[in-house]
Amino acid sequence: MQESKAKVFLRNPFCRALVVSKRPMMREGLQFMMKERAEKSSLILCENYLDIRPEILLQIDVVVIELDSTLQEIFEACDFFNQLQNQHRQVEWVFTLPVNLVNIAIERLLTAKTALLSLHEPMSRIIEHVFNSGGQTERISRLLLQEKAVNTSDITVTNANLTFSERRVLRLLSKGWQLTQIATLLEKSYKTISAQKSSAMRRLMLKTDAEMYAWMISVHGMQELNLPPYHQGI
Amino acid sequence: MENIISTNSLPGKIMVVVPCVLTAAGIVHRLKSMPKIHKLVSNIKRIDEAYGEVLKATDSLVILNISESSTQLAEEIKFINWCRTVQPGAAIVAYTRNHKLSVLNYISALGARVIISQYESSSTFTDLILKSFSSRSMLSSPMIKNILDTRISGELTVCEVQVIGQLFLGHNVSQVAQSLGRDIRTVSAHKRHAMEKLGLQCEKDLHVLGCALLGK
Repeated sequence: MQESKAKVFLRNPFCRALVVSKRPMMREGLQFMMKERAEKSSLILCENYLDIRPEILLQIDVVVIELDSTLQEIFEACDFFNQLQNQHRQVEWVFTLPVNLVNIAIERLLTAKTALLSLHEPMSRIIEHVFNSGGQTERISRLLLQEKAVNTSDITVTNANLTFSERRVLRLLSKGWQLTQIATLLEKSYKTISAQKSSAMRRLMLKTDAEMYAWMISVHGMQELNLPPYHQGI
Repeated sequence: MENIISTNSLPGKIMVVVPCVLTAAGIVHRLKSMPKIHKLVSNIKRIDEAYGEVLKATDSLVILNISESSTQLAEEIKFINWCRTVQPGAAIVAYTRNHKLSVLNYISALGARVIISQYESSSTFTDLILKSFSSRSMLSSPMIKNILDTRISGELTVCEVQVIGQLFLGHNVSQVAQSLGRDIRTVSAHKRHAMEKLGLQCEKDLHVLGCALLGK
């Protein structure tokens, strides 16, 4: 880390910060980093965002938050942050977040005093955001947008036109049933079910079983089969 | 916990391969504050640089970040697999954010020395790292133990990894048998055993795990 120790201009070396992260090592890392750069700075460590109290926020310049809720919880969290953002307008907010939350964060959290950073942001960028509060900094980090672009680029939408029984077979397969079990359940021959599966795969231009299962857990596949989005985890 | 670390059980090098700079800084700071170890620690930001470093030292300890997003997970799994074949002397500490059962199962079956959750407190972390120097068996932090619970019926063998690696790529059992030059029954048995060890119930579980590991 020799190169990152080079002196950078710190606009606010007396910065008072608050960090919220569920990961202790991340909190300690920030604490250590701030102490090393500016001895006069201070940092409060929090594990859960619900621990942020208004009276604490009055004494704080920058809040660094690591977003890592599931999709179900994120909206609640956003509402909570919005409220605080409205009440404490002097505070700078820095969020670090994974790619899957980018859209929600841009929509819900972005204000003139907010910055969104990627989890893999280089040290220099983090320092800039913590110590240069009020200065000209990027609102949404370029790295984060790059990651997002990589993630969304390979979606190809093919129009499926599956028949009812093909869809039914695929849906059962996606629940972990075997072809023979499906045949027994639907009181059809194994060959019928197998034919329906292979014609569905032909329509979807899938060559192997592995591709088929990959399609099933993709966003497009789940829409096509009408599967609930959150229960597909491994 | 033993406070005295005997010098002969120390690894030659401790590499921290964690892309999140703050977390990496936290770990490095923690480890450097311990006597005897502080000289061994090096921070490697990117996983591609880790390959060369592992080759240089035979008995290194790699603290590897296991992430949630599937593209990175694939890279990390690839690295563990590579270490297993090219540098068996290197021990892997999986420092994971990912708490999915099958992924953890797979990592433990690949023979990681320690699995630690990133949500674990820093004292638990250092304790486990210290213990790992002397212990030969797999260790895991309390949170991970909770998830993995009773299972662990053993490490995957090289053949099993080879077979399910090919299955993940979308080959079927007979194709795998042909490409490895084995009987289909042998391959099928490898597959069955691997699935048992990983706690996978059906074909679908296997492929979903495959997707998670290959980053689809």
